[in-house]
Amino acid sequence: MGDKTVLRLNEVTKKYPGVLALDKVSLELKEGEVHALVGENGAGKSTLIKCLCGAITPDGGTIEIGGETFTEMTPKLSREHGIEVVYQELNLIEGLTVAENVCFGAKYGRFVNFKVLNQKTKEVFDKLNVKIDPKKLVLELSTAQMQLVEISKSVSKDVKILVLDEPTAPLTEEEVTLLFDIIRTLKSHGVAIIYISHRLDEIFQITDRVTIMRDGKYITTLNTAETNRNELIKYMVGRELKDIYPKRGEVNTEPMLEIEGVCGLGDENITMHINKGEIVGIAGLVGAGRTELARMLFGADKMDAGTVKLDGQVVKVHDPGTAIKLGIGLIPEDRKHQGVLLGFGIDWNISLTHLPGISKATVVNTKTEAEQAEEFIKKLRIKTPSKKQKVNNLSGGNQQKVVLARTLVNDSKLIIFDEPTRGIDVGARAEIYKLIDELAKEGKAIMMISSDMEELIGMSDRMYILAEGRLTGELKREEFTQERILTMMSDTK
Amino acid sequence: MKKTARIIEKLYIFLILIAAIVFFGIAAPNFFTWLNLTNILIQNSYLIIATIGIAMIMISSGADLSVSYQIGIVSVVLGKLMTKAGVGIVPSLIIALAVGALLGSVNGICAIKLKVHPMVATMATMTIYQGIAFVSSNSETYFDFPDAFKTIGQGKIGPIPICVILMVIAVLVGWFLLNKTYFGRYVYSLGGNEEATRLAGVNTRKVRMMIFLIAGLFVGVSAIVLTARTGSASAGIASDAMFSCFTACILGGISFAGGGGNILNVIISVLILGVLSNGIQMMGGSIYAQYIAKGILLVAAIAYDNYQKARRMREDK
Repeated sequence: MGDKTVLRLNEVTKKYPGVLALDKVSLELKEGEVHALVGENGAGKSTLIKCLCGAITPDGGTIEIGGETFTEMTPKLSREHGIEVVYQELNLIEGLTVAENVCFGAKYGRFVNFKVLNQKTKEVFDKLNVKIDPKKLVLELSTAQMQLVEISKSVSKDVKILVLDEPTAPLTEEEVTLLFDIIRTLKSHGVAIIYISHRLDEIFQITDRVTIMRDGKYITTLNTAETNRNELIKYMVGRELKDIYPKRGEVNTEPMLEIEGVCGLGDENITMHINKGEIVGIAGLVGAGRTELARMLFGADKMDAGTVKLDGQVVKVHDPGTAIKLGIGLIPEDRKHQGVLLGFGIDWNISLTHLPGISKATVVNTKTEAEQAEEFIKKLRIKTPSKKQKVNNLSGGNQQKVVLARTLVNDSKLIIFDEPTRGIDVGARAEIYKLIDELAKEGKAIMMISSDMEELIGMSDRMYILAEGRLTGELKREEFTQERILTMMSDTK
Repeated sequence: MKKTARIIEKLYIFLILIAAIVFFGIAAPNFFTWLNLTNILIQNSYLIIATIGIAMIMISSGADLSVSYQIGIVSVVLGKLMTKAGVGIVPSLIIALAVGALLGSVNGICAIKLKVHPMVATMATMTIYQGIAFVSSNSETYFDFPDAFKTIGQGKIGPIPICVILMVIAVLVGWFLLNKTYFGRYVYSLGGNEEATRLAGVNTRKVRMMIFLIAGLFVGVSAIVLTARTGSASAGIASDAMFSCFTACILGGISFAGGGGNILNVIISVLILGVLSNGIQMMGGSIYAQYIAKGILLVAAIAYDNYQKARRMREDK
């Protein structure tokens, strides 16, 4: 990290009707530093980045960059000053080759000259030590590789300030290591990096300094080496969170779910059980077949072979409707596309799973519906102005609670959580963990699929590990170590 | 300011209808007479009935381009049964409704089994139905319907035309289905997010099938009303219906993506189209002038739909 300041934001302010999204936020970025920007959802991180790249116009404050002072940026201006942003949602054109994507927008002659494009891309890849064939189509790549292409795309444009918004969200641990190598390479070339992440352990691994924001305000900037987790969380949520994971006691040994020899969707011969009141973690890399297992159990996809016993009874689950009736609930990984109906109210979302049950002669009893919505808003502590509020306007954590409510209203015996806290901020996470614990204590069996190692270790009573569709291990709580789990996760044939 | 904007947004469709009536009332002589206004209602009753079915399909994020020739086939069936085969009125009506339901179901099966957007599936069935309608009727027009049958379209109970009564009943049934029953809830949910609806335990294929079948029934009733009113049956009897249904749905606020929309707004939209046609006719404009006006209206409706969507997205942020 050099001493030269490449970017200085002075008291940047942005007002939206009714909200002060940014309240005099200042930030200083030095050459070659990795600067973490942390805060809960709604803290104003994205808004700040949007001001920086010219997507929105600040209402006050200045942006100093390359010796010049601006009161606002435009996308063009920000690009000319070497600012590049890699967003959470990737912006690649899948039908084009890697090289075409990397060189997108750059002009080398009047027609597409693949030789030049491939050459240029190769240069960038070599610089970053990325090993992807520039001639491949983007749609043939894994999510992690796409992420690398996206970063290379920014780097190919003589980047000086690179903003990475939740870059590791879709990546597995191994791929994260790869990404960090690239960040270090860029750093050694003097590129300043703003690193936004919810995963605190990463911040300690890769960043030099960390700026904390809360409710649109600048809180403080710390040297990463001189701070710790608890201090960061304290600043982020404005209070101290003691332990975000609940204390788990002894659990029942009476099985709720027993599956034997389950095959399908790439999963082979999976046998496991979950006891009543037990939280069982399912670990594995992306593509290990965890979500597939969950979807088969829930009847969302077809199971090729295997027997499933629920509470001692052999059950056949053909579709999600049957699963729900039998008492199996799924909280899907992609909340916005598979979990909730964003355009509808909380009440409609909750009642959707059991409408015939609350209808008389096909007419929906809206009174029962309203009562149920109110009951679960209260029980799950959903923060909302009204039960009619569109789910779209709720925060990630509260959306997750709405999906959970649907499972509870049907009195599920087995609840499958697929990435329960993805994209949910620290404060709301603790809340979700607490709810999961409460459900287990009521005697429900909990299956929890997660890519967050800390969460798996913190929450699970027992853990199964999958790799390439096979069960590669089972660990009890006292046997949990990160290394052990990782070894089993990468136990490939 | 904001309040006015919201009221306008809620009632915009009403305001357009009133504006259209006022405009033609001033511009066209004989427009603003009791006889002409009831005529508009009578002439559009069949369209309103068909549009209820199409609206259900569109709310569930589907589409039906084949409606014109579904009406055509049902009309030809009625003509053949009653004027050629001498089948009684009641059995003919039952068969006509069954044929409507069947045609709707075929659309549903194609859309579900082919796993394509219903727009594409019904584009294919539209052509097939058109062919069937013309081939089976030899492009003939059937007259000589029994008077009792024509009463459905031409008769009155007191001062009120029977076809208008049927239309009101259809509207009430459609409104009830969409707003009160869980089937209606499924229709909206399917349009909002099909996969999430499926994972909520709803048998989405069955629901989609039901939507097409029920829409087919509405279209069947529509064909009966139209055939009875004109006292004639032919394959091309309603060749413009598809455009009107579609435009009315968009104008009435059912977005292309589905998931929203109010059936009453859609019905008022049909009336707007009807007033437009009638008004232009009264001013001496040709059928082609009506096409131009309706086309412009569709463009405006789509633009408004886009504007609404963009505004909603801004608000959600």
